[in-house]
Amino acid sequence: MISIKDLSFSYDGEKTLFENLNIEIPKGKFITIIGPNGCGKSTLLRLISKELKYNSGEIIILDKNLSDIKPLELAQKLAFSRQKTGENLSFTCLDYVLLGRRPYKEQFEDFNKNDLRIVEDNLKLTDSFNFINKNLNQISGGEFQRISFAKILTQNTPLILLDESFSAMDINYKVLSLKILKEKVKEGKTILCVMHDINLAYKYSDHIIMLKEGKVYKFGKPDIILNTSSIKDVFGIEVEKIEKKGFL
Amino acid sequence: MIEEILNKEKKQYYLILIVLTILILGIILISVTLGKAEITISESFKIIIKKIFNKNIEIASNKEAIIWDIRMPRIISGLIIGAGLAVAGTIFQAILRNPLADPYTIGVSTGAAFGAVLTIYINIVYSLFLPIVPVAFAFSIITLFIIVKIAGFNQTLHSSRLILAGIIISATLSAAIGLLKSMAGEDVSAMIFWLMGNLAAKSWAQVLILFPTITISIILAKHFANDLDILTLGIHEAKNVGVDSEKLVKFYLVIGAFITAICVSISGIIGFVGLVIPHLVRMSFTSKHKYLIPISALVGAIVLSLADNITRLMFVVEIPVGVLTTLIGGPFFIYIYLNKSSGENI
Repeated sequence: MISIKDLSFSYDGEKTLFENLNIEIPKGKFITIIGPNGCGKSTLLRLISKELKYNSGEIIILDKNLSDIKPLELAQKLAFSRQKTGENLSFTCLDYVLLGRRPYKEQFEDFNKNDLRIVEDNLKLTDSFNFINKNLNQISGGEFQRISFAKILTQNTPLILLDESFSAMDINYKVLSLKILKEKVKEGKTILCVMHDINLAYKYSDHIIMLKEGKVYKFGKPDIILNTSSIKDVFGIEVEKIEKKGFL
Repeated sequence: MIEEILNKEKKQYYLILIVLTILILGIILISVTLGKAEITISESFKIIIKKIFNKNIEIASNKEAIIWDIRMPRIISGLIIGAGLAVAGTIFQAILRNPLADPYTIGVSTGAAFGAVLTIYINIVYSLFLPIVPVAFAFSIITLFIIVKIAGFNQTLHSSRLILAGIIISATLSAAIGLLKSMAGEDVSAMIFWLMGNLAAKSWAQVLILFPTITISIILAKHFANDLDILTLGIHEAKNVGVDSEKLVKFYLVIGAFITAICVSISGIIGFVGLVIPHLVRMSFTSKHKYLIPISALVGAIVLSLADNITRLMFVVEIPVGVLTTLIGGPFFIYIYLNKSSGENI
């Protein structure tokens, strides 16, 4: 699905974040990236989404080199939910979700019944119908994340990148969203997700990538690689594994 | 459900469009009638019909000349310039993602002003009659190139870099204008009058320049309006849904600057229309650019022609319309802003 080969990247040309990074992301899996702040999780997603330009190496998405993919083509393959959108001059939630259909429209073409049906389905799925007429800057962080999630689903791409897209949602919507994603994985979509909640990552991921200082520390099934010693190594805290005591 | 919301918006849009168009036609008829010469509405109506449809109607020729050759071009120019400035303002607010942006933010207008003042200065010193409009236009286009060069055309055009480059160039050119003004000595009044922006003494020749250029620019701007919406969310967000943001920003930058350059070259700097009108339409109706651009154009046309009527008719000595728009526009905008509870919409 995504092959990252010998990737090197630095923000200012001095301090390198990634050096010869190699990751192979399989198709049809839910993959979560975890790691401490500043280890390069978001940067990796931004590189894959072509927002940032890498210094050397290559990224291949669906058998095509990322540098050869035009913006419109990329938008049909990959949807990216970023941590925050830019400031805006008032944009209603409905219009924002409708943007998910934009990659499939010609210039000046209006949305047809099918587009509207897809949008409506996803608004229902994410339970965000009751504030579609509000402006993006009038809703709460959690509500925005639900709208953003609805838009990503509307874009209906084989690859979905999520950068802490559930962080402000309450536990009900977090679980709801993750369950929706699990369904999407069954349909053959690939999810690459940055998450801070280790427990949710453990429960819902097929694979986990542990990043540490721009390097893959471990990559594998959650129950194999997530343990007290690996968490101590990556995050530097002592944890205890509690079976059947939490609320998840 | 969603379809209903979108259809309602569309219906509202067409309704507003029709109302504003009728309003404009009414304003044209009333504006040409009002003035020092005694002419009735039915007379001016007859003259307009006669001229447009080439009919043979008996009308005093001096009245015909006043209506058709003196008042009409001025009013039409006002309408077009008002529309142009409002659309240019809408464009700059969107691509610079800054609610404070207006057609003059990136300094293209200061370039035009410098060109105009320079021409006036040369004309005074060497007793020449060089035309102001082409020189002003040329200078504004040169300014655009310099600004874009400074902001870095080949890199991602960051809005903050464009604004900064515009401010730097504007400041420099303003100083140069000041220099020319002080060198002009007693003849400075011609420069000041031009700089304040006015629509007096416009002829059909100017309408002939304004109409095709501004209309085509506005149609082009409307054509890609859906992408302009997306651009207000930021370059990266736009890319995520497949919009080639860099190309689009450059395209709109050129259109916005072109409209501004033409308007400013012909009428001088008329303030506030380009800043306030887009906000008014956004606050009261929608922020979707496919609706916002045409409605702003019509509202801009109406506001500027009304303001011009006031300066033309209400004062003993005609005052420049640019002064009036800013004088009334400022407090009016504050009033609207304070009355609207959801001020964060801007």
